[in-house]
Amino acid sequence: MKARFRQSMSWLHTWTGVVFAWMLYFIFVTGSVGYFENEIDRWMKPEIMVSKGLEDSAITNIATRQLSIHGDNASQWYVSFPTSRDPFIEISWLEPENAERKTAKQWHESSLDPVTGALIRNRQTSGGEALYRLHYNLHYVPQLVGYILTSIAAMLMLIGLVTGLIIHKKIFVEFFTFRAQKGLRSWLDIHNIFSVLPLPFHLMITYSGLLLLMGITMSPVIDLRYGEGQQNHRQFYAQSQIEQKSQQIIEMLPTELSVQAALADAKRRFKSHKVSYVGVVERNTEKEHIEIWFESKSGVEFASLLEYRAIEDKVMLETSLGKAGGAASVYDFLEHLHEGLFADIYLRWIYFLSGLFGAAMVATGLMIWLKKRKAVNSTNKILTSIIERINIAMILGLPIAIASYFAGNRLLPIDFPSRAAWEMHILFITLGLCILYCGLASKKWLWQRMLCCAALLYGVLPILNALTTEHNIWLSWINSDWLMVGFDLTVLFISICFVAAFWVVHCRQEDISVKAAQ
Amino acid sequence: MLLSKELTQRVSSFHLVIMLMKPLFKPTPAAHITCRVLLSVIGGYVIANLSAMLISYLPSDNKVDGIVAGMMSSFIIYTLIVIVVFAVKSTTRAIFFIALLVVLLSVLVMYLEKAI
Repeated sequence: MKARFRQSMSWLHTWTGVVFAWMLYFIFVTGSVGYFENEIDRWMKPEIMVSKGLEDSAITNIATRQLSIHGDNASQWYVSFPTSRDPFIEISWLEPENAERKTAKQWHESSLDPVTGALIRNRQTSGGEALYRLHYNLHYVPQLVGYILTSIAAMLMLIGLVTGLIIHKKIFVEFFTFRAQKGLRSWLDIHNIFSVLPLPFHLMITYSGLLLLMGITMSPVIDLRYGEGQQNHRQFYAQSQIEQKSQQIIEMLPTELSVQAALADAKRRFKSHKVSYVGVVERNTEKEHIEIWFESKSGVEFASLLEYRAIEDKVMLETSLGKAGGAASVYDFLEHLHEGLFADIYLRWIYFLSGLFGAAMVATGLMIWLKKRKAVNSTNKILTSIIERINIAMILGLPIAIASYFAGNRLLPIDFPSRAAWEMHILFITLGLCILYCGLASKKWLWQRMLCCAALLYGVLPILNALTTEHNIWLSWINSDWLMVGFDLTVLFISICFVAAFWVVHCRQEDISVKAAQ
Repeated sequence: MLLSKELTQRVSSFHLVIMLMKPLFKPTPAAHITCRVLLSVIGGYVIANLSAMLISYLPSDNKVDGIVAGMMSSFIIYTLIVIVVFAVKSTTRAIFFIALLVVLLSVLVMYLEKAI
């Protein structure tokens, strides 16, 4: 390609990074936000109540009573117990399809009032889940297209990371160098810091992201070994999900087997583990059994499922031991690393920040590319200018759009038709408006104005929360509703960060204009 | 004239093909880059899949695990292929490299498919 190996790799690094840069930035930001899925969900459902000091057995009583009222014919029941990330009582049930009313089978879920035990009617919301799903389904495109596009972006990212590693001779020396006020050189140094410090994270997240979708992107392999078509593929998935289990007969009569009894037995066996949820699966059939799931915090490996089933006159206990096969275990390990479900609050913050560093890596990379382009190429000024404007719109418009998604949750009327869908529409409409604005407004103050807007929106969120619900920071603190407090303080902090960024950009601009005047 | 002169010297068939191709078209740098991009994207994907298939046959007792291992390695192989395509000096060499790998892997995979 070029005369020297490193030059070729530099070319490859630039272009693999630039081609899908905006989508990569989008994936990194929404994916990072996804690490706080439950916390965001709590904020977006202000009606649900924190449960404190209730015994698991009491919760089971309340929950099963509600389940037998609302989901008596359901094939699956789940009760989830309060945890530090989710301090609520939640139930869900799978309603079978109804030929008379022509409804397909459908999951219902609701949280319970810990005092009265009644169902809580919370507002319709897309919640944290839809926000986190954005990073691989891209929302408006068909599912398959979303998967393929994000996979292509991830593949380019992987090549970008490897080539980035190749072109840096003194990677760790460069990591500790920062030359401020040196134009392009400073941008390169910042780019290196964002890339090298969390490099293990970037490599892990990109590679494991590719693995999560490999059944789709590398489907020819399954076609060859299992045959083409959905039916054959499903056979592969079913076989790949089989876990090794140990079975034992326990001292319990089948007539005694109930959710309560299974819960008590599981707690006796594993005293140090916390039960996160229990389920009754394949209800009203011969295969009916009770599942006990432990909290996934005990480590990266969390094949922590117990199953109780009655077989003739005995009760059998099955403990899952993870998957058979080396590759499948490695796959599981990487998948758990990607999802980070095992992470406690500190590690979760590190995950979140590493993800944002990834976004910053992509953004600074783009800035360098634009600066070089502006310095060298003077022929295609219009195109460069358009890219530069969209660049600002994407980098700052996306955080603004996410803030407006949260604001939409508070401001849309409670009985607004398809409210949850409109929350998501608001996100994309805001992003579109940002692009429009950046395309038309004067470029001189664009960064400052967008930063201002972002700071304002994030600063307003806790106020909106206090005005439209009974959750202000002070009250949430007194009620020890830590998720609510955490969210409000975090968005305030983000707002302060935007103010700081505004200040830096503003001072630099003044410097430049003073120099230009001289 | 030039061609016959070169032929009298002992040239390998590899060089001969390149020699014959040279006067036919003079690719611009843009054409070179397009060619390499296509080679790396499509060729890389085909090779990644073929090698995943090959690896999937390695563990004889666990079909699922083989497939998982194959698919998992395919992304690393893809990355390496793309790097090689852009690293080699001439585009012709990149074409030969990809073609050779595709043929070799296809033959192996076809053989294994018949054999097992």
